[in-house]
Amino acid sequence: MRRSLSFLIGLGSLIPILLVSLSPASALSKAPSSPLTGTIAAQGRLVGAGGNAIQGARVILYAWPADSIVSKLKDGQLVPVRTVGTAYTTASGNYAVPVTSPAALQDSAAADGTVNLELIASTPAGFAAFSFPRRLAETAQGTALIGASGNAGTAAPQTANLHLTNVAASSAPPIQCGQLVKVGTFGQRRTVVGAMYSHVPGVTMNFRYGSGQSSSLGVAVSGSGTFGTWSASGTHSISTNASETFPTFRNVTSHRYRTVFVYDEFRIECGGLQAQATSWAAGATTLGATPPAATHCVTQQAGSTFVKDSTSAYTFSGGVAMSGAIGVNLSAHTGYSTTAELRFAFSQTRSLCGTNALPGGAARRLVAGVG
Amino acid sequence: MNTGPFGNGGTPGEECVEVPAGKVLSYGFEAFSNSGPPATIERAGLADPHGLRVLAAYVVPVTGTDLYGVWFGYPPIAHVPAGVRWAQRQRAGGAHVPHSRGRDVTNVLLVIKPIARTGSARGVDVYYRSGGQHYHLRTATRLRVQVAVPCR
Repeated sequence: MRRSLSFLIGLGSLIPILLVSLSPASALSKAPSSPLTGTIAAQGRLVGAGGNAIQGARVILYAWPADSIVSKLKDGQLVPVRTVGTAYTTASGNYAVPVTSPAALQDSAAADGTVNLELIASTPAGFAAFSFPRRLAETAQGTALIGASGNAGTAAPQTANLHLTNVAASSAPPIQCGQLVKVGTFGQRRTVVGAMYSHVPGVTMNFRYGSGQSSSLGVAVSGSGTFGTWSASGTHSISTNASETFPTFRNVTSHRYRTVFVYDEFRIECGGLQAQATSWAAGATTLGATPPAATHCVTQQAGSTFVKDSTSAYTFSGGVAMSGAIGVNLSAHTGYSTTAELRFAFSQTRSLCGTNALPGGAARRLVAGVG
Repeated sequence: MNTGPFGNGGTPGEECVEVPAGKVLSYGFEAFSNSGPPATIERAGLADPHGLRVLAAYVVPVTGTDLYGVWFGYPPIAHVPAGVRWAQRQRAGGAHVPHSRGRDVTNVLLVIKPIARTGSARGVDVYYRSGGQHYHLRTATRLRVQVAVPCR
């Protein structure tokens, strides 16, 4: 059973405070974890704006609070992020951050076990950040961090090469390391979560984005927050809690399927700014698409249907429409588990082809073609 | 299960086929590549079948882009897809499967007779031997067969 402790996080009188409920372990987690032991969760190299290696900088791996907390923040409210591990860069700028106790991340996990992690390096020369999701799972060796898709096996270390960005002077009061403050919102952003393609008549296509699906959505960081200074830097995973059934399409047509996520803006780690998704807003719209090459095929007899209800994740580049707000679109990386489905129904004998593998295999995208 | 050189069986889905009354189904939807040394198939069939009977099981080497596919009636169809080496087919039991090169795969072809109005299976099972070890491949695509009832 989780024990709870309510406490106040105060930064003086200039910043509003937020009452949050976290476990005692959360309250005690400000001190960096031991860098000496544990499974390596992230590794890479830290360089300055000129590409020079940065030596002796501290790289901290944080776990974001669960989205159920972050999505409810109001502008100006702040919340702690949990320190998961730390490392110091070598003379060549390399670092490797170990995680000693994945079990301590339970409070930061979503219902499906997803934990959103973020690497942050903050130096006098600027800051760098990179976000990536993992999932907590019970293994024979105890609680472990596995890949965000939920596949068995401990995840390989995330490789993230960090580039320092200058932090612009701000009139806002500084925040302590290990905390984040919501500074605004970018509102609802259309995001591609699926696609179906057909070159031929005799095909009916349906797509459903279901409850429990998760998408890893692009994160952007900036030193100043001004338009055009943002750059993509990792992904943040958001799970859905309801379903959207999209319009049915028939015959020669190809579409991308879009739903809506809310993107908010945060000030992180002593001054950097970050834009990331915080919740799913639902919605179902479509966008015309060009079929990709797909050469792993199987013939489908007239009268047959094929449903793919789990796929390997596919990254839709520019899948999150953010360019109007920050100057760059972000990626959307989506795979499906058993509650979402791509359905092809064939009224004529056709072929069904996967882009990277056979339809029955680990195909990421499917295209109906000439039988 | 799904730990051997024939792969992990793919990602889940379902194939539904409406079969005319009295017809059999040639089910060539599944394929695998052999990432290990030459292997010998011990047996192949449907996984946990209900209302379906397997009349024959073949493996067919495929060197092209298309599998045999899903058809009514006994094999072979009149126009076997280019790259499906039908002439080199083997009965699944005892079949020799060489190491796969490039994109080559081995297509499992089951001849299935519906014995009820609706039939189902969890996938296709292939039991095989490789490098002195026994393995079990189960494909992740479920099969549903409906006799003269459209799939929805």
